[in-house]
Amino acid sequence: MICAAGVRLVVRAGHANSWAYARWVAALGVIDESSPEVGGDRVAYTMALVVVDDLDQDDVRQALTATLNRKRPLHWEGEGTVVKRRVVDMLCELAITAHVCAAIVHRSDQQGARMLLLREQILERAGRADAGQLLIEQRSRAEDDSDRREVRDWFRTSSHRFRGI
Amino acid sequence: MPDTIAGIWADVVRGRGDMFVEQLVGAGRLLSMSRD
Repeated sequence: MICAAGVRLVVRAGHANSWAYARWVAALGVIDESSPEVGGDRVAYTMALVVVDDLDQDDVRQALTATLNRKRPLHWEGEGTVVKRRVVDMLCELAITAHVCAAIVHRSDQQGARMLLLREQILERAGRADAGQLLIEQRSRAEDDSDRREVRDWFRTSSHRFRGI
Repeated sequence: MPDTIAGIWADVVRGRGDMFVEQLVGAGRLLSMSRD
């Protein structure tokens, strides 16, 4: 339920007293990217936003830890079909939602594509989901600073709530 | 988690991986996809 002020009231079905359990919640947005080559000097610069309600963060974290408990970190591109199926099955069970977008660009223009996708796709989706708390995969210091500036500038001129990065 | 979803979509852009996208969309987990 989204109220007039833009704050979501979450009522958990199945809870002993759902209305007593109702809480005003926001969400965490987690952002990461992939940039596979698609031929020539071009890459598919791809960004994904995963939204997790504050209420669900502990459960999601526990489920991920239990499923991905392995010495070698999961890397989608290098995994076989069996592992991929298992991961996707898990994603379907988790209390998360996701948005994904891609731009085909020259390999030298990946940073430009990133800023464009953040501005025009990812941050708007995060704002609408009240995911004003953002977690972005760490890259170089300069790149992280660029992301922070972009995110802060975007939220400064938007009507959505920003809670930190 | 988001890197996995980005990886799945990257696979789709490259012409493979549609099956996983359909599964995520069907489960209500993947809400939007776009490609410029």
